This record gives sequence, structure tokens and C-alpha cells, in this order.
Amino acid sequence: MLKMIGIVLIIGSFAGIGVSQRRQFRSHVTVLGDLISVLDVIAGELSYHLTSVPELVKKLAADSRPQIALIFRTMQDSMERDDSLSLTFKWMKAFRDCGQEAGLNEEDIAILCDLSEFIGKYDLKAQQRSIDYARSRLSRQLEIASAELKSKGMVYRTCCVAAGILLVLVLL
Amino acid sequence: MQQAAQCLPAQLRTTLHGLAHSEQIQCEEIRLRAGQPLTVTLRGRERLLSGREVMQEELEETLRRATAYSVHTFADSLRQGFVTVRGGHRIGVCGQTAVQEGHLLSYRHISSLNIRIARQIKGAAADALVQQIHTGDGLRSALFLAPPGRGKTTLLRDLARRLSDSGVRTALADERAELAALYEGKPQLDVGRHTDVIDGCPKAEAAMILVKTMSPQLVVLDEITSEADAQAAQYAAHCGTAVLASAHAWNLEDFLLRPLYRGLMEAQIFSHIFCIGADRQVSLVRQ
Repeated sequence: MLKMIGIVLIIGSFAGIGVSQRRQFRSHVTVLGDLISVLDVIAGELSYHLTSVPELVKKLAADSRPQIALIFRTMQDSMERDDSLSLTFKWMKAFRDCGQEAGLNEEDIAILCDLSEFIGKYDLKAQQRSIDYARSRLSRQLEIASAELKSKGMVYRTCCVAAGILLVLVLL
Repeated sequence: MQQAAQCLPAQLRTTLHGLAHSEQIQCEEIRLRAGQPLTVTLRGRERLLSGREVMQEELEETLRRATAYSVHTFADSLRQGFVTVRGGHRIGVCGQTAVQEGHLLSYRHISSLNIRIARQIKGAAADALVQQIHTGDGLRSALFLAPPGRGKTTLLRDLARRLSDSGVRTALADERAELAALYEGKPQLDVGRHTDVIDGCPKAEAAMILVKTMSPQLVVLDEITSEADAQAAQYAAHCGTAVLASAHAWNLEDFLLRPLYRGLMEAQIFSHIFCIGADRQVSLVRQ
């Protein structure tokens, strides 16, 4: 009986590791998709309402998607602080501080940080162009992440379950 | 003044703390010029505040703060040389410009800023003036003439408030966001209970929309400065709406010399024309 329980626990924990790895790939894909839709919202708000950056950030901080809310709430908090730090710095800091926790990788964060050089600083067209560029770069990241999810996600799950079985066989 | 000073960087705000409370209440303007000390305008006269010179970067930062780091939101008004911040305070901008095809595109470097402090003075419109406009048999259209700084906007705002509170359906075409100073849809200044406001839109367009959609009894247009504004006033008047407006002029003679206003006078829209004197006294100059 104890052996059976041990076998189940070992295989279960290894399968769990595999599933959690796959979940990381999936969440990366999800957050990239969410951020692309955020860029669409920003572009729409800018072109239709000429919304100011603090208002935009306030709207996004109230987003129902937790990763988006996390990043923009952090940004909103720092923007509300009356200090001498620039908007560029605050935008970048929010992505650097919360990006990884939200499921982004270094490259994604760099793309979103690059956007800070344009947001709120130039006329509408220049901002729209920078958003379009960031969008196309993020879409490429999304393609890569989706491919990783398909290939590596499956491999991780299968390998981990196989490793669990192998360990059980060795221990037996 | 504290609210208007919010757009200043912290160090410049500290300089303003040197003003006595009574002076802060009376302060009309805060002026910043690159390489010069901060000045404030009290009773029409500029006063230098002791302290260091204002740096050019501080002017840029002030404008960035005033525009909430969103140049695109204020692009149109910046092209006209001003931005209006929360509370209806207007910031005039000077500096090196970028011009394209004869039109101002942007400011490359800011050289000076003038923060005009908006102030609501309830009671600025005297009872006698209100009675001249809102007579027993209806509303009269009126035009107020004065050079800048004599309180045209303050007077129009108070007239709008008083007439609105007396039940007159009032509409404000608040192009520069100085009359009502809407913030997130709510007026920051009291413009009356029966008042509808269009903020930030060119006066002529706003007046058309207001007349067509809100059926006002009174339309208020602050500072008629273009042919389109004059036409909007005529349009509103021809629709049976009373018009309260203001224009830059020293007096009636000065006003009549300006070609822009000739059409307005020929159309005989305004039954009353008032001048605001240096002592802020309002006098009827034509009926």
C-alpha cells in the first residue's frame, strides 16, 4: 500500500512540475495577448478621446485582467506621487518591477519600455506609429510564445511524467 | 493660488510660500521666465520673488506637469499658445516655436510661462446688471468690452451662475475651459444649476451644438475673437436665444474700429453693450 502511495506521489509531483512549466508558457501567451489588446485600447483612447496618460493609466489600472491591473496600478501609484521623476521613468519602472510577475520576459519588457519614449511626448501620429511598432513586435513575441507552448509545453509535460515513471522504476 | 501652483516643480512652489497669505489670495498671475526670478502679479503689478533664477528645464517640467505629460491632449490649445489646467487656470506659453506652412506646430523650447489664476467672485455681477439683462419681459443679449485682466470672464461666469440659478436655461461654450473648468465632467467653478457646458471645443461649433441640442434660453460666449465666433453669436441670436459675450476692446470706439466686429454690430444682436473700467466698474455704453 505504501509503495502504491509513493508511486502515485512521485509520478504526481513530476507531472505537476510538467504541468506548471506548461502553465508558464500558457500564461506568457495569455499576457502577451492581453498586452496587445491594451495597446489597441491605448491607440483607441488616444485617437478618439485624446485621453491624457494619467487618465489612460487609471482606466487600465481598473482592468479586470489581474496582470494588466498589476502593472498599471503600480504605474498609477507612482504617477500620483508628487516627485520630480519623469513619466518615462515611471512607465519603465512599472514594467520592470511588475513585468516578470505578470508573466513577461525580458524582451517583452524591453519592447514596452521602449514605448515610454513616445507616450505623451509627441503628437498623435508619432504616438500611434510607436504603438503600432510595439504592437508588431509584441505580436512576433506572441508567435514565438505560442510556438513554444505547442512544442516545449508538451515536451515538458511528457518528459516530467516520464521522469517520474523512470524514478519509480529505479526505486523499485 | 495653491491649486494653480500645483503644476510647478516642488522647488518653485517653495519659493511661492514666501508670499503672505493675504497676497496669495490676491495673486493674479505667476510668471516664469527662463533665467529670471519667479514673479507674481498683485493688483496689476509684477513683483519679483526673492530666490534663484528659474531654469529653462523647470519651465519645460512645468508645462509637462500642466499637460499631465500628455502633449497630444493639449496639442490644439498649445498651438494657440495656452493650456488650461484643473481649476480653470490658464497658462500662456512663449518660446521658440516650430512652424510648418505658416502655422505653429509646437514649441521647441519654452522661454516663459504665465499662469493666470482663475478665481470665482460670487457677486461680481451686481443686482442692477442682472436686472438689466433679465428684465420682466425676457432676456436681453449683452456684450462686455474690456482689455485683458479686467475680469470679463469672472463677470460672465457670475452672470451665468445668477441667471441659471434664477431658472434660466443657460449654455456655456467654454472653449478655453475657464468659465466652468470642467474636470471629469463636473464644473470646478459654480456656473449655476441650470447650466450645460461644452468645454474645449471651438466656440462657434460648441454654440451650434448647444443651440441645436440643449435648447438654451441663454448662450454665453467668452471672448469673441474670430469671424466664426461672431457668426455663432448671430446664429444663436437668430434662433431666439439671448447671447452674453465678451470681447477685447478698450472702449466702444475702439471696438467699433475693428473690422471683425462690424458684422456683429450691423446684425444688432446685442441690445446692451457694457464696458468694464480699470476700477472693474461695469458701465452701460450703448442700449
